[in-house]
Amino acid sequence: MAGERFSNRWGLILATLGMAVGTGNIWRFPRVAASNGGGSFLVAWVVFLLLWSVPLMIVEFSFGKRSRLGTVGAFVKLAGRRWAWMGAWVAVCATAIMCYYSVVAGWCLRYLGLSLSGGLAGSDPQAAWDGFAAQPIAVFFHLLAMGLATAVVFFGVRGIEKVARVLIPTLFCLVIVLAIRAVTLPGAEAGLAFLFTPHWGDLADPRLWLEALTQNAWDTGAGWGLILTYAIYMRVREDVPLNAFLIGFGNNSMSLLAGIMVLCTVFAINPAAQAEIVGAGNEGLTFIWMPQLFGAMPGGAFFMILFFLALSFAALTSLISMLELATRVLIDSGLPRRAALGVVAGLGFGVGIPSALSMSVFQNQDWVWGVGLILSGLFFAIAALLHGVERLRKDTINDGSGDLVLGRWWTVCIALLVPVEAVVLMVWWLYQARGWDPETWLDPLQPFSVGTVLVQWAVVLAILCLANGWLVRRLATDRESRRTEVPS
Amino acid sequence: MTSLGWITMVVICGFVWGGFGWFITWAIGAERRKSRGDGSSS
Repeated sequence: MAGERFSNRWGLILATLGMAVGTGNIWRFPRVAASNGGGSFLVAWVVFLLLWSVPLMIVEFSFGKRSRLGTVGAFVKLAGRRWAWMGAWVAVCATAIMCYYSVVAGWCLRYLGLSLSGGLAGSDPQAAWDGFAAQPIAVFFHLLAMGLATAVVFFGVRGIEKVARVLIPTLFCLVIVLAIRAVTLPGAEAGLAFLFTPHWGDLADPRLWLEALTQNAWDTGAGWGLILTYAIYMRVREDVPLNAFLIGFGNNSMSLLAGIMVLCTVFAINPAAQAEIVGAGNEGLTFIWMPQLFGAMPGGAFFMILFFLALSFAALTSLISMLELATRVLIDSGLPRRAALGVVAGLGFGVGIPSALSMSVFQNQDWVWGVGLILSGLFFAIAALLHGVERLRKDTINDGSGDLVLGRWWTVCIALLVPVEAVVLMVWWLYQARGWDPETWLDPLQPFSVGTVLVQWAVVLAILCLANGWLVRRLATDRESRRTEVPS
Repeated sequence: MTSLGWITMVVICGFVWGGFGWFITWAIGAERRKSRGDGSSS
């Protein structure tokens, strides 16, 4: 297992695109773009693709390629032994998301099954959603999603590559077909106008830029540790910057297609309710409104199957990468893959059960660890600074094996822009949360309070800082055992 | 849709989708050069 590699560049690209393209591209991007000025938002969104997502993806690729270790080992190897806790934070954050993301993948599978069986036809989508979400049956579909992802990760990087080679091209084809269908509906032009018409005055609003930065932080997968994990298995003579650009642009291409697909459908089928639909939240848009819209569309039953198939593929390929991240960290600490995967899958299923049974728990975890991802991005930038950003650029990225030479602009991004962006974004989100409920904003028992974020982060960070030495020793012990296993 | 909307759509979609296509083409060319250069891709 130690010498596992993707068979070629396309295996790595497809697996990493599968990680990056998730439900956030399909159910969050269209809503956020529509709610924040359409064309003006898209300008800011493209700017932060280049000033947040791609620079952090390059850091992650270079860490994985250089260290050939998971997040904890990579931070120890590149930043130093005192910083294992930062790598562990990245792993904990992504793993916490994995626990409830499996629930989301289960929802998608359930709705795929319902659309295939015709179970959504003629039923009240609100009643169907209320009868499923936060009910015991959601636990079964959470188990099903976790089981499918575990079966793939069981076969290691070759299993991940084989699945990505089928699912990702299919996912792109499905979304292209759905987008073409949406733009050819009568009245779809109003959706395009809503998405693309800019209001230049909106660009003076800091909120638009912060929303655009947030969308990049949450839907490209940059700074999550997932790209680092797949980069462990990249070939020795593999390019870093070109792959990062390819994945960043590929992910945002999918978001743009999803935006066209969703907004054209909304404006063509039910333009009167567009404000309500866009404001219905991720689950409301996807599981309550989309079935109604497809139900009113000619041939809608068929296109609804394609929609939920695309959503299921997007969710599963992202879940697989999260499972591999945590598994890889345990493998680095000395566990065989099967045992490590068993621990992670069991833990993920168990910890995810409360999120499957309660929307409050689900939304709380999404809030706490969603903001936590921004801290993960900051930790990557700090680790690169501790290693030396220029040193990383010259020795690891521009090492002669690349097809695209990375310029000094990247050094400025990582040393200056990304840390500033991360701090501003975290402060903005927490400041916003203070205003959501001024009386209980510090109460850790409130699902969307600042207090719940700070308490959960503090507990995890305290444990990880105290365990820093142990984390380093586990890595060292494993390396020692590997040396003794190698025949002389 | 206004002409400004059409222009923005062409610019944004052209940049994002065109960029994706351009990087894919670049990567295909790079892979071909590598396989010709050393006969091995790993």
